[in-house]
Amino acid sequence: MSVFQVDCAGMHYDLRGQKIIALAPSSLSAQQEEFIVVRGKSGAGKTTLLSILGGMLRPTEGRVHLGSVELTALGPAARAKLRQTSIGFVFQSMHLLPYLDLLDNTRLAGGSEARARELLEQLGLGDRIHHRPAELSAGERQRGAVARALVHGPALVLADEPTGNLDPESAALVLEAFQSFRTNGGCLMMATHSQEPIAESRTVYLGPKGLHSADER
Amino acid sequence: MSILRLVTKELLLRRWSALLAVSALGATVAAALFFFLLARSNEGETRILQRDMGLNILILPPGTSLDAYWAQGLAPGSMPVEFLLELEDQGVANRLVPMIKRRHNWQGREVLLTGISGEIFKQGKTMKPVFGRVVEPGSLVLGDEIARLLSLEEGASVELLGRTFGISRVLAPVGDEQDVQVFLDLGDAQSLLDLDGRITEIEALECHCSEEVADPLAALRVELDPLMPGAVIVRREALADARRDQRQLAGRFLQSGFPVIAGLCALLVGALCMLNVRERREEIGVLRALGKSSGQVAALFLGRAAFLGLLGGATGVLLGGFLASDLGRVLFETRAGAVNLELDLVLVALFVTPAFAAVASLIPVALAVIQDPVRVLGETS
Repeated sequence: MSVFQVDCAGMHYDLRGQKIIALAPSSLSAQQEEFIVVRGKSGAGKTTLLSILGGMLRPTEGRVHLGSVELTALGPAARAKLRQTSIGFVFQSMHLLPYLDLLDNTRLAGGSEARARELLEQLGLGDRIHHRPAELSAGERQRGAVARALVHGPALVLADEPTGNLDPESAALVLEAFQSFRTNGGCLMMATHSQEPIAESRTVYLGPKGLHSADER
Repeated sequence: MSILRLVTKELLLRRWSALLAVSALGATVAAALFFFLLARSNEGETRILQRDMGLNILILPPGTSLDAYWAQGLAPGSMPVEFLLELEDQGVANRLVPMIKRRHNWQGREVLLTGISGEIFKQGKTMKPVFGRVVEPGSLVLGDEIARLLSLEEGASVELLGRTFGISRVLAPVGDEQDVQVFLDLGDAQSLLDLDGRITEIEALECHCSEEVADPLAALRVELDPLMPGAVIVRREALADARRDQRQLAGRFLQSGFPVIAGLCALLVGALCMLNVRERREEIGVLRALGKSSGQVAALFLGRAAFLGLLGGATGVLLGGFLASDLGRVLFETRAGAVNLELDLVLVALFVTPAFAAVASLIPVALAVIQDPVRVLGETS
């Protein structure tokens, strides 16, 4: 069974009488241990696609399944519960809580303290676990957000530009953590502007006509 | 991670903001409480001051001609003292003072002999006596002018109507009829003047002064006439109306002013709490994105608001109570005007403030949790 299945999911809204297409109807599915990289121009709808897959936004058309559950048929409370157990999300703007230190921010998503410490060590933040976001660099905050997405052992991790603020060395640590997650049975989808190739990943492109594979470019 | 831990961490990091919020809440509660306490004390003080202006109902024996009464300053006839017993069960006049008044030429001077007793209260109530005068049997109390004219001093013995009395007291001058009055015990007066079991007038205090009564004199007559058939009832209009109007004004000031002040304070508390939650919408989005339930998110924000509300309420009670008490000591002189911060008032402030803060916070929290987390976070592209 696929980890997720997107069937012609699209998103549009009216802005002062003008129809804005946030995501052209798109279809996609992914299996366990799959790493999907979504590339596309700014405004193509990468964040919207990740948000729909994460159950944080309801598409205006199409359907999304997470495992056997139709995500688009669930109400806000059921989607929130599903996020807590099955989905990890790395926001483009990190969104760490300013009053919690890195360890508490990571544990906010659930999981054990030992697992949180282990992930923070793996991401090179072992000596910063008791520092608050304001005391960290943008790159450190970004890695902290990655740890928070992985800590509760979700089936699917959605990452929006997780390496955008990182130096090559830190980016490598993040990708290493993602690959470790994948090889342990997880499924991962990452949106990025970067054209850098990512090992053992499948790249899809998002444009005005929706998702298409690299071959269709 | 528990909600309590999150609230504690947030308050510790933003302690100065929290302190400002508590101060603002405290100042708001203090303002409302300050107004309420002073307005209530003002009402009490007004009641006492207006009461002390004097008795405003006069009850005279049946058949008394008012032109004769006002010409002589007394009623020529008399009525049975039992009328007083009848007056115990009515609700329009209180602080009943029975008297006997007669003119008498004493040592070459015209004096107003006044047999008097202490107050009798309606419906068996016990109140602090203010009116009337308790004169010990066998003694006299003299007005200042008559004592001066007759060269009489406290402690002296004098003869009146063939009986010897001791002068127990000479009153200070007051500038009215009292200065030429000779007060004696009502029983002594009845005996000396051959009026056993009789009185010539009753003075009393109107009870309806805090209520709107279209025709106060008619209201008095409706209730008193059946109890004292034929008695002449006089309402000293200027005195009674002034007392009623002033008491009603003080009451209206409290009743109309407090809701306005409380409403404005509630608006301020509500705005503060709503503003606080709106500024933290991002956190709501993060928590919802991480799968926290709307109940957990609401508990986090409402718990914080209630906690700060409780601290603000306590601060307000202390501050408002202290300021009102301090100013009250300067403004009000009677015991009724004393500023009292009762326990139930404290409990109301301590309950209402956090409850209202939580309810005010609930609105923006509810608006945020029903939206998709991404919209709250502004992450849509």
